[in-house]
Amino acid sequence: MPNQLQNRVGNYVGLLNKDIQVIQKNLNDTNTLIESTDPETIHGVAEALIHSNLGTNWVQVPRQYSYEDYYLIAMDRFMELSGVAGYSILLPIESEKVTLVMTDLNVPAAFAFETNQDQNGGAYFVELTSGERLFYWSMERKQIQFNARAIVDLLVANFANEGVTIEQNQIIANLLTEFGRYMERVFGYAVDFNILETRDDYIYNLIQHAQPQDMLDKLFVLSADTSYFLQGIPNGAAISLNDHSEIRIFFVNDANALGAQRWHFQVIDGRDQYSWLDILLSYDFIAKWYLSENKTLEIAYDQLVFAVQQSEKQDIQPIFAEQQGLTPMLPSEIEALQKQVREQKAAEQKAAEQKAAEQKAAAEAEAAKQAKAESAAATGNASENATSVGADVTSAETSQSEASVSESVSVTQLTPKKSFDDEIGEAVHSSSNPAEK
Amino acid sequence: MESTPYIQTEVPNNEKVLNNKLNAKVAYVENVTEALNKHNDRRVYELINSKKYNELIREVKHADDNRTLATLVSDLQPDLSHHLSEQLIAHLSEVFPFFYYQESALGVFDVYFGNWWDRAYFGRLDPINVQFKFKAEEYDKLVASVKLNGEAKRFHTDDIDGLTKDNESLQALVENQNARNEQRKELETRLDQLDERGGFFNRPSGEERDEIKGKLQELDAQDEKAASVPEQIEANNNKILAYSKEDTILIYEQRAINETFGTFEAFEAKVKSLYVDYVKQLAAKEGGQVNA
Repeated sequence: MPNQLQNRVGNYVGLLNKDIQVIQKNLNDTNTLIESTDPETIHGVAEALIHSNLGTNWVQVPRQYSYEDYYLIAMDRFMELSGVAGYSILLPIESEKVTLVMTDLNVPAAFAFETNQDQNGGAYFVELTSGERLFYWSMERKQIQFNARAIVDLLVANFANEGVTIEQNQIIANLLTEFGRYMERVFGYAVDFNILETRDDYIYNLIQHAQPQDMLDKLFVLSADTSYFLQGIPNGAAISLNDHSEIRIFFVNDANALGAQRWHFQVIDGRDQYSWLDILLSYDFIAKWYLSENKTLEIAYDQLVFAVQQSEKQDIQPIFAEQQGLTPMLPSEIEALQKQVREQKAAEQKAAEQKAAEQKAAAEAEAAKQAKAESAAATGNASENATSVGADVTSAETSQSEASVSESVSVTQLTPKKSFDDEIGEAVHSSSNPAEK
Repeated sequence: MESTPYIQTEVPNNEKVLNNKLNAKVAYVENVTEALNKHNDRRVYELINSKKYNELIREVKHADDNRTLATLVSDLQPDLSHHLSEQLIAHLSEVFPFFYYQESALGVFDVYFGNWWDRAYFGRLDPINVQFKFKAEEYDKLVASVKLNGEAKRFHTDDIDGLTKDNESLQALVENQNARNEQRKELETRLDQLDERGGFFNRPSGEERDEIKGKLQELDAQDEKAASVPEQIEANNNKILAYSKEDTILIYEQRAINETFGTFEAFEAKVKSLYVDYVKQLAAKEGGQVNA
């Protein structure tokens, strides 16, 4: 029989062991999540991880990936397997929070998941600056639902107005679509593509908020300034567009619909190539019309899932400002590194100052030489000028080095302060994007 | 009574004449039948109106008409019209590519201008006489808009400008609501002050009172007007939309004409010479003979 002490210590070891096992299971799953090349396996561990709980008390893990992060890591893995390109993931060394950014995008934007808090679970894929919820993902129910409203608000109303090109927008649209297609194809997900659907025979359902008034007349008038024109078709209108594509806007008689007319859109190109979103991105007059009419009708999305359209808006500048790297670091390590960098900088500065002083001495010697030569010929004016030039140079250099010292002290990041664009560029560059390979 | 042998009714024998006439009719009908069967539309045009044909195609001055013979087929006009439309519309779709036709009843062809949204019903096609019968209202609008185009204006530019200005002043009426409320307050205070000061002995100045009341009534009228502004702006916007739509249609019509004919005058000339151009072309297809 073990004595009381043995019992006590045994219990202690047991408690710790139990926690370690929980942590070990989590680590194994996480490892599988990033290393496996089998989609089913990845999906399985991802599903386990979004339900795991590392809230252990006896052995604590101070820094953890959140459920949101696991969603994004899983999404990244699936996109890697399906060959989706054009994005990268920010990898801050100071925290485990991961964020998706578009590699080639000239406006500040960052994407991450936000878990749904009600009993339905799942998570929203959110653009952080605008808070737009672009799609909802439930791993348990194998379900993805896109949000036509948010996608239009972000890409068409917002980005396109800020000078994002059609191509840049289409990379985002393509990323969303391809991810949805992959999940549908590989795991048999039920995906509601709505505004992203490119099939010719797909009839877009619309949410009718009010009875449309003269909306086709409005589109007709808007088309007058373009080389495209609206044609009448039974119960509606159509426009022939570039590349053999065509859109149709028409209604079906339905006593239950507002005004007894249920309206639909259709995009036909013979190759299942273009979605309604592509049309909005490519043709400004149609986008303008759609945005002005969308209080009356808009492409349908799940109104229950997206009862709340937006998450809280976030300032993403701090996310971009964080130091990126492959190795996580503790605050103390980062501080040490910063100190090292500061010292190196100071050394460089000292060397530069020394060099400047040498140059100054040389310049003074030269000036003196010149002054001597000139004074021999005339007055001392020339030598005064030369000295004042030398003094200017010194003072300019002093102020410059002072500025860089204060910078490296006050800024927590290791690199000197840069513009926001540079930050994005740097962040993107330093992260490891599997799709870039 | 005996019959008087001196007075007799003489009925000259006209059998021959009658026969000739009947034969001419039979021949006419046979000719029409043959022309129809052979799909020789040129011959049909010659037969159904020889005066027009001779004067315009053969360029004979003052040719005789064959109206009496032509009446033989006049009750067949819808069928003839339908028959003749086939080749004619094929020809028209090349010369006037922007016109579209719908046979609303046998031989009756509605003409539509363009294939765009809410295109105009532009009149009728008369295949028997080879001519367009444009709807005066639409045609006059087009002519007017061609003229305005020379002044860099659209048909409804003035209407739309007027309505836009209307909307601006209506909007101002709404925007001035606060100022009016302030003014009202001020006037009412002054009226109260007058009442107080009045009491029993000092009858308040009636004039000042009336003036203030007048101003208040003016404010009432303006407020009332402002209340209906949203509906008025909405109504104006609907009118603007309707005008813009019509302008767009007229622009498309002009553009179509200019793309095909270069000028509106050239289009008018082509419309005028349609019979000659078409029938001569039929003759040319037959082998260049207009006298066959």
